[in-house]
Formats: sequence, C-alpha cells, structure tokens
Amino acid sequence: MQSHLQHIQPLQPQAFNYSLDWRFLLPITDMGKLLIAFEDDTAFSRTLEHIGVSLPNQLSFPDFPQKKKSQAHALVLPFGLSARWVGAHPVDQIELYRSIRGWIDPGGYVLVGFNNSWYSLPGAHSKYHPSTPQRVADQLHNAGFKSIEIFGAIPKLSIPEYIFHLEPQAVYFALRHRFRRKPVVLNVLRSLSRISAWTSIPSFLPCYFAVAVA
Amino acid sequence: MNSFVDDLSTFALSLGERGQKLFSSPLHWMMLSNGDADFHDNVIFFGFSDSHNYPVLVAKVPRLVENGWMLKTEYDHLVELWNCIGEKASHYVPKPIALTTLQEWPVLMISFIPGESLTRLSRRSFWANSNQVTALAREAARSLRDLNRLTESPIAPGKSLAPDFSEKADKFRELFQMTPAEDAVLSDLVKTVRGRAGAASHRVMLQGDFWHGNMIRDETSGALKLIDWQFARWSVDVSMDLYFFLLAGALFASGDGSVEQRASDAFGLLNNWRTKVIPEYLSTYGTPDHYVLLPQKEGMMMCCVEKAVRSALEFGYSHSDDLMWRYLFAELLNWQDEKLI
Repeated sequence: MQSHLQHIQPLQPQAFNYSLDWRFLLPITDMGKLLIAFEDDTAFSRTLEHIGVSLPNQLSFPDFPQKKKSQAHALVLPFGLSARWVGAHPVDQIELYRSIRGWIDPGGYVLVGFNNSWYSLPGAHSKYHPSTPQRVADQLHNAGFKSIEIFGAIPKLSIPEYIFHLEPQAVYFALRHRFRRKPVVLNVLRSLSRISAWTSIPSFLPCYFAVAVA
Repeated sequence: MNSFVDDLSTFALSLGERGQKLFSSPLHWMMLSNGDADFHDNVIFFGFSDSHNYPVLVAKVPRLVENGWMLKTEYDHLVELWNCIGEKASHYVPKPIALTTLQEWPVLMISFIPGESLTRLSRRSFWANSNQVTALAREAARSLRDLNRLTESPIAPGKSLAPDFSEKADKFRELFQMTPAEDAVLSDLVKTVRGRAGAASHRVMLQGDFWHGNMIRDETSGALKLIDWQFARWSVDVSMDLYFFLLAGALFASGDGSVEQRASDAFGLLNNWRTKVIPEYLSTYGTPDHYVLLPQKEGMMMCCVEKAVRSALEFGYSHSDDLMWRYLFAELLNWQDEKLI
C-alpha cells in the first residue's frame, strides 16, 4: 500500500507568520511610501517585501530612531516601541514620538501596535514596551499628533485575528465570535453586557493599534 | 488622504436601495482575518451601525490586490444567482450589494448572515459521530440539490460546458510525480469526465468550494446558508461540489498528523462512512437526469485533482494542503467500486 506513495514529491508551500492586516487602518494606495520600524526579524522583513515594502523602507536598530529617513505617507511601529530604542519613561517616549512626527508628511499617519501592559509581569523582559490605550493616546497627543484613534486587536500583534473599533457593538461581536466555542466565557460576556462593567472591557484586550495623524 | 476603513464607511453611507439610503450613520468596523495569515485569502470587514447589535454589512477585501478576481467571480455569480432565482436566493446565500474599488483596492459588499459557521465543528464530538455527520450530510445534500434544481438550465445550442479537467490533470502531473498506475487512472478519469459531460443537456451553478467551512447555520431560520462563492462556475458536472463535502469533512476529522497520515486516516473514515453517511448523503441528493454526477471513485478522485492544483493554477503557489489532496488521490486508487460492495 505504501510503495506508490513514496513517489510523491513534496512541494514547498508558502506560509506566512504575519498577517499585516493593520494596513487597512491606513491609506493603502502606496506601500512604497510606508516606513516600518521593528526589531530585526528576517521573517517579518520578507513578509513586508511581499506587500511591496522594500528593505530601504524597513527600519531596524540602530538605524531607528537615530537616523532620519525620508518623508513618508505613514510610519508604522507594528509591535510598538522597542526597549532598545527608548526607555520606559513617558517623557522619553513622547520625545521619540515627537521626533518621528517630523518624518511623516503633513496629514500622514503613524500607526503603533502595542501589547496591553495589564498582562505584562513585573520585571519580565520584553522586546517592546507594553502600554495602555489611554497612555499611548496621551503620549501621541503630547507629541503633537491629532485625530487619535485606538483599535482593539485579538489575540496577538503578529497575527491579529480580529481588529476592531472600540465601539460596544464591534467589541461585543468580536469577543462573541472569538469565544463562540467557550460557553462559560460567552455567559460571562452576556452578563457583563447587561451591566455597566461592560464599558471597562475595552481596557482589558490583549493588544491594540493606535492610529493618529501627523 | 483618508484611511481605508474611513473610505469604506464613506462608501457604505452612499449605498441605497429603491431610492432609500441603506445606512444613516457612519459604520464601525470589525476586521476578521480569514485563513490566518494566508496572503491569498481575503480580510472580512463586518460593519456596525449605532442601533444594531449585529453587523449590518459585510465587506470582503483581498490581502493582495491581484486577487481581486476572486471577489469579481463571487459578485458576478451571486448576482447571477439572485437574478436566476429571485428572492428565494435569500434562503441559501448572502445578497450581493456592491463591487467597487476603494484606494485602488477591490471591495465586495454583501449582506450579513446572522449565525454560526460550521468551520469549527468538533473533530471528536461531531465528526466521530456518524449519526450527526449523516444528519448534516443529508441537510447539505438537500440544500445543494435545491440550488442545483433552481439554477438548472438547458445548455445553449453550440455552447460547450465540458469541465476543463484535462488542464487540471496536466498540472497535477506537472506538480506531482506519478506512478504508471496512477498516470493510467488519471488518463482514464480525463476521458470519463469528458465523455459524461458530452451527454449532458443542462448546466447548473457550482458553488466550487462546497464544504462545511463555507456553511453558516442561520440563527433565525435554522437553514444552512452558503458563503464564499469565489470559485463558483457554471458546469454540467456537479461531482466537484457533491464529493468535496465528504472529502473535506473526512480530512478535517483526520487530526493534526502529517499530510500523508491525514490522507490515510481520511480514507479510512470515508470507508467507514460507506455504511451510512455516504449512501444517505447521495440518496438525499438523488440522481440528476440532465447533468452529470460521476460514480464515487471517479468523483472523489476528480475532487482531489482539482483541490491539489487549485493554488498552483489560481495563485501560482503551493498551499500546504495540496500534498494532502495528492496523497488522498493515491489512497482512492483502492476505493472499491460501489457495485462490488
């Protein structure tokens, strides 16, 4: 039975570990004018090339944040602020946001992905700084950005299966869809939706994307 | 320049029907990754308006702009289906609302179907239970036959709708090394598919991806509704739709082993289903008079070939599942003719 199967030659399937669907939170016409900053990651870099973001538009340490790059329609920090680029102090982070604002065309966008610091363990080492929606919104505002909008994301920044406006209907639908096979979680969600505690749910999502105009 | 989601909202606000605007306030969106990170898949946007707990609109957007043809195929066939069978179509499929281009990106807008996708039917508690599988199989067969009856129409004189199976068989040979025995079976299959198609007088619309993952149990009516029509086409042969449901179910139930193991397990399960699931499924569907339904072995092998080469032909790359379909093709060489059982 097995003998004829030995002749089958496997192909090399194409697989991706990153979805890059945050693109749709920005104007998407010209990927060539996106600057994307992240810590060295060959797989992520290859995935970006696949959507037309060439290597010169990909910034990693030490090029970022010291070296000024050409003007861009949008600057994306898909995983947030790296611990190698800037310290945890809010003043330093605001200063970094202020400096990168100058790299973006007037009316262009910045997009920052970040994990919720609610879930980070004290003292745990992480490549990127976790934060909270309010903190990032305040920092972007203080750095001069406007029209700041926060989107929830589940379950992780590399492949966010769900990205959504933090409006009650969208949040509730996303959570119901995500946990549709978990009756206990669904019951909790249903109960929460009837009481005022529901309004705090968006603060406890695992990660977010902040989008703002320069 | 606006963000893509802002332009999506603006376009949704411009939509109307019979002189009435469909939406009066800007929509909020939830973006759902379809197919995880597969770049050849679509991203699904669910639109919410202030007063509704459920989405009021669904927008599909391809991750790669060059795959916009999928949305056009889906839109064209949904429109054709609605034109063909009228409001009855709402019992089976979403309503096509618009096909447009935003920021040079193709966007398909369709109605939302409230309900549960069958994608995540449990491997253990559902697919291992032949009574439950039989019940779903009968329901799927009924829906498919209903749709086939509703779209059945005579082939226009001088027009051929023979399936382009020889092209797929050639690609299969090109991609996978074949044994002489497999090659001979494939050649016979090409002849059988062509010969049977020549005798058909009617065509029907195939869904093209008829498996439980593309079915939604409507929350309000309880009916099975079919989504994802990007591989739909007119054909005189329904074998692809009918047998794909069985094969996809068996492969889904076969666990997380190697592709070779999964194909082998699926073959075993299909054999188990011969006592109840398959006979009830096929008898519920019935025997078409004017178009083609291949016998089990040929029909299932044809499905395997089409699925094994689809990514290569449509997208120019190999999907991780392709090899599994090729292994299943090899397993099916040992499928006993139903008359001999």
